[in-house]
Amino acid sequence: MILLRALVRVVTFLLLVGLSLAGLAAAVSCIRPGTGPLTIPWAADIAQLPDLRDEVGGWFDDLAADGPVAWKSALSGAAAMALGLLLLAGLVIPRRERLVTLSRGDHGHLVARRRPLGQIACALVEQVRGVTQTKAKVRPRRRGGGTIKVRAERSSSSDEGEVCGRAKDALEELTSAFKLRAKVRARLGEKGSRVE
Amino acid sequence: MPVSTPGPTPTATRAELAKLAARAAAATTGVVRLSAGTPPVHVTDVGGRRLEGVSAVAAEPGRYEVTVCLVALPVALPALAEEIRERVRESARIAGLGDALGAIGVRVEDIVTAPPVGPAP
Repeated sequence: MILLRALVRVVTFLLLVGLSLAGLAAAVSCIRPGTGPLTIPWAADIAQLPDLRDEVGGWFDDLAADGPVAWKSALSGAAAMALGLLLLAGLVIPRRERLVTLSRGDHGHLVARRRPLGQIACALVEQVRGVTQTKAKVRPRRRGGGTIKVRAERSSSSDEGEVCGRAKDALEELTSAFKLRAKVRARLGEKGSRVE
Repeated sequence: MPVSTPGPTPTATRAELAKLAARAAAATTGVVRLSAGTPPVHVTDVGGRRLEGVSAVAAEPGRYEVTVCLVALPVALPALAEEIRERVRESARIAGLGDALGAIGVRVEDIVTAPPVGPAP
């Protein structure tokens, strides 16, 4: 991961250097008169603009005229703008911290990240008879508390309803102390799972 | 003309509260270690040194709300939070900073099953 991050930084830096050099060349080309290097005709030749004009000239005519090409282009442009806005929003809007507020009062608050609560839920349900494996997901609510969804795998000799009931009982200690709601699903474990 | 002794500056009070809260929380049974959090926001500058795992934020005038961010053992969290509050309040009272201490928040960053084993003495 550290190596990938370093690679991303190097590539980003090189791309930015390349982009700034290209921008500098374009800017100089725009202000220099004549037909030599670093002039507008030179930049147009480098970018193969004459060939491009020949290739897409017809399409530009269709775009200017009223018709399906114009509509498709307008819709594609709008979609690209919407995508850009979404990407900007993802970049600019800060991520909400996913903390579960367990209690709050004048004396202070008690909050926990989702992972430790999920770990506690798993540890509690794994002790239930008939359970072979557990996975827990905690979803915090904005006004405190939240929901704990536990997916338990059970042995074939156990009953689904019984396992769910016992798992909810096991979670009672955690859920009753705070405003947490437990949802338990028990399904038959895969072949090879054993009750531990 | 009487000369009054200047009291501690707000920065000193904040740093002192953070230090004693960190000390009190770390000494509580069930606390494995303090953590700066994710993202690392629970950090206090104490005389140019980073004190990780505690933040002291100005609340009412002259009072600071202290939040302790920690990694705990699988214990009853409300009881753990209450014990930490008690210890921090007691430490602040002994240090003469009881009036400067506001609410005490506890943030559980992680739960580990066993405390880290250090090198043998």
